[in-house]
Amino acid sequence: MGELKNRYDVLVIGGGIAGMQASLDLGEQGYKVLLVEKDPSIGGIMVGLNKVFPTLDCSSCICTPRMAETAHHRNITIQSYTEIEKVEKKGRGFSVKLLEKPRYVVLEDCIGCSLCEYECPVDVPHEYDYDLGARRAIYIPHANAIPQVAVLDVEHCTFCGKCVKVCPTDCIDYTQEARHLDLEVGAVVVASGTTITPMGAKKEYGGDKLANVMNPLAMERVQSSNGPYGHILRPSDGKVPKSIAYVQCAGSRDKTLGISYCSRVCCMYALKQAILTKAYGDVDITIYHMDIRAFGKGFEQFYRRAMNDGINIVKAKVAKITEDEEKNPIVRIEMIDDDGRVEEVKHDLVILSQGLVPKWHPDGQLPAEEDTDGFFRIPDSKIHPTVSTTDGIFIAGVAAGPKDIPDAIIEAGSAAMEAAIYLESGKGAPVAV
Amino acid sequence: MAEKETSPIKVLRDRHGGMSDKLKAYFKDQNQIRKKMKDSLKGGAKTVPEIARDTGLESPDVMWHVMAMKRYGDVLEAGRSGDYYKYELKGDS
Ligand SMILES: Cc1cc2nc3c(=O)[nH]c(=O)nc-3n(C[C@H](O)[C@H](O)[C@H](O)COP(=O)(O)OP(=O)(O)OC[C@H]3O[C@@H](n4cnc5c(N)ncnc54)[C@H](O)[C@@H]3O)c2cc1C
Repeated sequence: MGELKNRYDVLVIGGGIAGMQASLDLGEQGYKVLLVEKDPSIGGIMVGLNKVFPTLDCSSCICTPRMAETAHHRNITIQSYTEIEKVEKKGRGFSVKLLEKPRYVVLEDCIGCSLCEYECPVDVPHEYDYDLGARRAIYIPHANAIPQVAVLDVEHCTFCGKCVKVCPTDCIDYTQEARHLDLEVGAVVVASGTTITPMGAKKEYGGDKLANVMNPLAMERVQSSNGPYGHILRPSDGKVPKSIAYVQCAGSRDKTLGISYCSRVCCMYALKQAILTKAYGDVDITIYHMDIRAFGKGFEQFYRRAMNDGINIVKAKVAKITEDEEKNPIVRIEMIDDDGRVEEVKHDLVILSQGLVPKWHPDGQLPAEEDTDGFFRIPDSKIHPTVSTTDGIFIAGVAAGPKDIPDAIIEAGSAAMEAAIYLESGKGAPVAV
Repeated sequence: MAEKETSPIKVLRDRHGGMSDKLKAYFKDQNQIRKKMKDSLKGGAKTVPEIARDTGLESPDVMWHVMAMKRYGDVLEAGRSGDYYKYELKGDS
């Protein structure tokens, strides 16, 4: 990290697993890389997942070493908590304008001790735990954050000054302001990733108003030992759920939402979460689906394992979710296979398998086109699956379309290689000529 | 140790026009809820529905505040009662 230079070979946008992998592959080849992440920490979605399908390895145990390697690489500079303002073609390279948001904490001096966080009097819903848990107005983003540095959310600050009094390194700087940065790069790798469709998108599923209808990323946090509850509990009253339902395609393959594609990972993450919850013991789990798509290596076996573990896989379309007076979700289903009968089933907790949508729409901030589905357009996807519509801009990971972690990593390697070839061919150079 | 300079907080406060009315209400609410919950827990370990019944607070709100208090060391888990965990005040809270 440290002082920012104004020329890099490659700008990587997004510090998820794909952006980190592309940065490492380029850094290892000797290219100078600037990795820009808009959040206070790198890691993307993966660092917050509990375990990964189909191996059930601990996700952060795989992701955090990769984060540390990226942060310590001599050829990689991480610029976190920074937004892209504009990337423009300029000569053989790109001119880049960045906006570094104020943390109100001096990055180089903070030792991540959390004393400020413990002293702060305001509890705020924590984005990292999808609002189920709390953080303070000044906080370390999460236990595995890199950089492990506090950030002050000034919107929730009471200006009591307690944090500065307790800080052992005097690193809190209330006078910080947003900083505009201008630089030049030779090529760009976009790895801006994904988010899930909004909870409220499907009004018939409660429109984000039902306390015990949860999004799947929140469930990942609930299942994590360092998650908001430390146990699998439901949010309305802390009950240990005895009956859990997954509603598949709750935001994909759904023309009413304008999302006609399959999000590719939902069947597998639902099966994964079901297997892991079932391992806790006495719980009945049902997955309502249109069809299970278990296409990857080891995925079919994983699906079979779920059935052998006693997970109920029910081919039914969920028409509606309501709740009773105890906030138990009532799921109205229409069977697909059987006689098409309609049933209402009571569960303690429902997880909507929401689809993946692009995290970032550049909207003129970057000269690369989007496709009709909103992900970046790859004009020659069979032969050059990471080459965008603009010379010198390459796309990696879910920014190009839904995929799982191994595929995102493979694509990141490919994007890095394409960027290296581009620079070596002399087409791209960080110095504007 | 010399007393630390805290006046830059004024710079920040002035720049942001002080605490918004929304934040003031949020903070006041938080303190009132916490007081009610702590009073309830002084009577012994309770589940989230029990605290909600005792205080008249909405149970999802109690759940969120219990978890916040647990995270920052004000309450501890104190065994289970059926399908619910019980929570108790930590000694010095
Ligand atoms: C509930 C759920 C469970 C999953 N479980 C698994 C699993 O078990 N196994 C598996 O293989 N896959 C799983 N996946 C898929 C996996 O999360 C993705 O494949 C992976 O996260 C893709 O990585 P990425 O780097 O492309 O994107 P992301 O992880 O989304 O990272 C993108 C990063 O870019 C940043 N960013 C975005 N826009 C900008 C911008 N304009 N400027 C700067 N930074 C920006 C974001 O803040 C983020 O840090 C799961 C997905 C979900 C939703």
